[in-house]
Amino acid sequence: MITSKLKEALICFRAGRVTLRYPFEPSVPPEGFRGQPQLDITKCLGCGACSMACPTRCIEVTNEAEQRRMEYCFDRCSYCGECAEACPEGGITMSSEFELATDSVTDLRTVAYLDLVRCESCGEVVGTAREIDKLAQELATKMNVAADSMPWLRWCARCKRESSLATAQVLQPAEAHL
Amino acid sequence: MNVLYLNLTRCIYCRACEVACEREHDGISRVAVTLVDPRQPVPVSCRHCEKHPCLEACPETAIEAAPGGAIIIHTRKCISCGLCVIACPFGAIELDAGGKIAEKCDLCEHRQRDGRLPACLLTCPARCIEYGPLDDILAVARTKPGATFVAAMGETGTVVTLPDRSVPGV
Amino acid sequence: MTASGRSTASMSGPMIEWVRSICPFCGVGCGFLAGVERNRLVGLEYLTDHPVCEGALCPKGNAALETVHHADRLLHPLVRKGDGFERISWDEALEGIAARLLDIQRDHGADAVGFLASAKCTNEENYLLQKWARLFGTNNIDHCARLCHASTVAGLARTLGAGAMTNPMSDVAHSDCIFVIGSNFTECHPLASRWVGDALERGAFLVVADPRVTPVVWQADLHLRHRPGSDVALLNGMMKVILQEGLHNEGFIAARTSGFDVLRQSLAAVDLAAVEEITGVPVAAIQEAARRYARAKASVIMWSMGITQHTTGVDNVISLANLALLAGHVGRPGAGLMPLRGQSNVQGACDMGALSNFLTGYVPVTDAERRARIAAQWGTPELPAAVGLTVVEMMHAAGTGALRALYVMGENPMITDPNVDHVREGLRNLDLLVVQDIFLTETAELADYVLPAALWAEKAGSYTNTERRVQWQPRLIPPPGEALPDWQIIASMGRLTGWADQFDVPSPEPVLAEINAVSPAYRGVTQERTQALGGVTWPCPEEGHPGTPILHETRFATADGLGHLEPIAYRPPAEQPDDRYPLVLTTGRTVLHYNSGSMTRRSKALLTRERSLFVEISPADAAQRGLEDGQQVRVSTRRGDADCLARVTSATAAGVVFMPFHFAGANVLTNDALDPTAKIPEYKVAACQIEGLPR
Repeated sequence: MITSKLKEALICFRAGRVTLRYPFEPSVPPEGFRGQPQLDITKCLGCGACSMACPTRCIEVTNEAEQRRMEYCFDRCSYCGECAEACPEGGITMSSEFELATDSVTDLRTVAYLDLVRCESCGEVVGTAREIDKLAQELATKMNVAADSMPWLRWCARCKRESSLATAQVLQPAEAHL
Repeated sequence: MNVLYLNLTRCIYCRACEVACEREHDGISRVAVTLVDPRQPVPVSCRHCEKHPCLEACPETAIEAAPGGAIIIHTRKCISCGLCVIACPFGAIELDAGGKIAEKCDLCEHRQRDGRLPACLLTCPARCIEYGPLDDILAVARTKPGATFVAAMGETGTVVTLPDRSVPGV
Repeated sequence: MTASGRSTASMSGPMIEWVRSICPFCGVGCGFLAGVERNRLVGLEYLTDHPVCEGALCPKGNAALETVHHADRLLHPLVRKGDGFERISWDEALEGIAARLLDIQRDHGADAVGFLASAKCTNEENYLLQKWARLFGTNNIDHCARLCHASTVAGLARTLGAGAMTNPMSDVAHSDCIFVIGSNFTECHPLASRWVGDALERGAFLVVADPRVTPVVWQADLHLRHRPGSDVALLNGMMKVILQEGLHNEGFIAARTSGFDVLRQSLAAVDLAAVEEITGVPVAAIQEAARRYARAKASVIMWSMGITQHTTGVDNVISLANLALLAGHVGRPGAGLMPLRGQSNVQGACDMGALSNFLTGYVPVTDAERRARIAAQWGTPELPAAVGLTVVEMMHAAGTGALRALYVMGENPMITDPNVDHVREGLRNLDLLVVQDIFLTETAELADYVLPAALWAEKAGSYTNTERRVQWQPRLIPPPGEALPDWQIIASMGRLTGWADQFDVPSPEPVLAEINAVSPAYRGVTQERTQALGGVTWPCPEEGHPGTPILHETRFATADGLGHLEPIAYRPPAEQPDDRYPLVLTTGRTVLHYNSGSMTRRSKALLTRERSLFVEISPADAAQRGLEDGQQVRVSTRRGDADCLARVTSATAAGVVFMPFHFAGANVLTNDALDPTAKIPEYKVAACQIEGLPR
């Protein structure tokens, strides 16, 4: 009985200190640890994929008269990483920052504004200028067409449907009309 | 590859195709019958374009060109970014109100799997809509009065015949 | 299927049984496949080899399943208690109603009771109801045909001997000239577009006479935009041109008609300039229309409410028959007279005699000899001989107290009858109002007794479409709650009011067998024939007869076998615009809703696409009143007001406004002035004013 207890004590003494002297020493999280989401706002398109992905409704996207407001409220963040996964531009990465305690919740909130493009015909929101411009560039490259040959990128879905025949006729070479 | 044919001379703006599509697709129609002018309705749905900006726009490769030529959205992969909605020249894609998932005509993939044709074409009272190999469709379409062309981006996709309508008697 | 009616027909599985069914909405009678699983309708599939529709279905047919398992379905018999209802048992309800009816019969006579049959119920059910009414002792039995094609039945019976559509709808594909007058088939009979489209592709010429620009007009080669109610003037004008230019078919007239000389004389007096003045249609257009119609190898006339719903409805129909007979365009493929009947079984309800002036098989109630024959078949010494009250007359009689009780099966007069405020007064004045229906309709809300009925999928029976095609609808699922098939309820009422022998009805099948015995045109319309794909088209005078798709091929159904030409003089509508009510209000339908809307307004797919009452007003009339598109407005006539949304559109002519009657309000405004012969109200013309409402 007593020998097993002595053995146990010996094992514990040999192990030495197993606790970190944190915060007197830094704590480095392991590889892949998900801490606070990091925004590179220069990459944000304002598409809202992050908002749709977030399970705790941290990210709110609202359209104002001329701009789209992106509000990131990381105070409720569960560090799941879905926003980073969703962002098409890689504008959100999961840092390893976990020292987030604060007495002011606004420390954990960021607001960004992106210029909106409204439909030329009817004024409905189409998207942000940044996402439309980027899309135009990308489609121009991938489809080998001029970036300014796609006026529909600045029209809303309903107006696009109303002009769908005209658009199709323009897209088709003249000889195709029989 | 198979394409849809819309004989727009015959469309009567009844919206049977919308109601049928809605029933076949969990309450969301992928076709919207639109008046492109006061006397010309057009059932607007995905034209399954040969050059497909929606597919190119999707950052998640959620949109795929299936072997038969149909352009299909794999809804499970959709991240609701909305870029395909902007990219489509015809307004054929919308984010559904509830889940914000991108939705568009999938040529009734679930029906074709067991040998049934798309619902819109079967239901159309005026027999505007047909479906078949592009060459066959073009051959038939060109016999109809009116202007026939591929109403899509690229060389294949939905074919339409547009009537030449003047307004008599008014 | 979820409670909101959403389902996917892609749900396939070994448990689903697909059963051939008939669309419950309009008179086209499209076939489709209903998917049945564990006593529920779970899917809809297209029946591509159906001869009427080739599988197609309009938006209403596509939404047909949404009302079946609806939360609003009536489940239990109800009796009036204060402002509401109390649930009672079937025995209490039926015995209570029978007792009250017998009391009224004893104290005021059988003619103090009226019966409204249902153009949406089966032939067997309508046959039983009219039989019960007559055995009860009255010819006060009528139904909504009175409100729609009563003019056609009367007008064509007089001229051709038979009041029904002469050719099947698909036959239009063979026409070279299609003259559409007063019909918006692209919205009301969308399947007709299929065959018209085929004809147009072959090069046929489409003439459309309509005050509105409808989708039919979009496809027209010639649009005659005549004033509402000016049809006789227009048609006389066309006939004048035909005679003047020698375009009439002399051979046909000589061999197959009578009355030509009298008609020619009366048309000689027609002045085309005067016709232009009355109709607003330029003489050149009238001439073009007449020439196209007369010269074509095969011409067809398609019409509907724009012709019939007038105080001159019968005159209008006779004029159409005159035109067709003059040009020889009747009795062969592509040539005929096609009144497009509305309800899924309005043709059948008429054929069964659910009419105040006809017994089964169009035997006039005043024809003593044939009435006696039917009486014998019904096991009774005699049947009532005096023509009974028609639908609108019943409402008037209810108001004066001459009618004390009304038994309503599957009809909703509070939405569909004209001058609704007056209808409400009448119904409230009754001692007894019984409503047998599937939902608590606006009419049922006023009832003393409400009886829950089974709908189309929940009872077997035959339906006759507008082509005279009789098709069988099998029972697919049981009715909900305590709801019972209409035939069962009527049979019980028949037994409880003293006719036990005549109403021993175990099922609908033997009723069809009785109909075969009573109605010569239905003699060969057996259950087996009606169950075949596409049914059978009457007249089918004996078993084994193939049916009769085209009428009048060799002789007309008149006594002398000739078509009777009859001169008609133009008479203006009953109510003209004046300073106080300067606009003409015309009413009609839209493609997304069906009649009183009791079914379609309960379909999410349809209601979201057409939400509420509206009035179409021309840009000129709107500007004059400072009205904007989408604004709330008040429409007023001498009879009442209705508030709705304005739709500013050039689809309607200046001076004319249009409202659909699928929503409460339109028929508060309409005029209950009647055609003197057919007793059909003038829904198509009323004088109205419109003013904007404050936002």
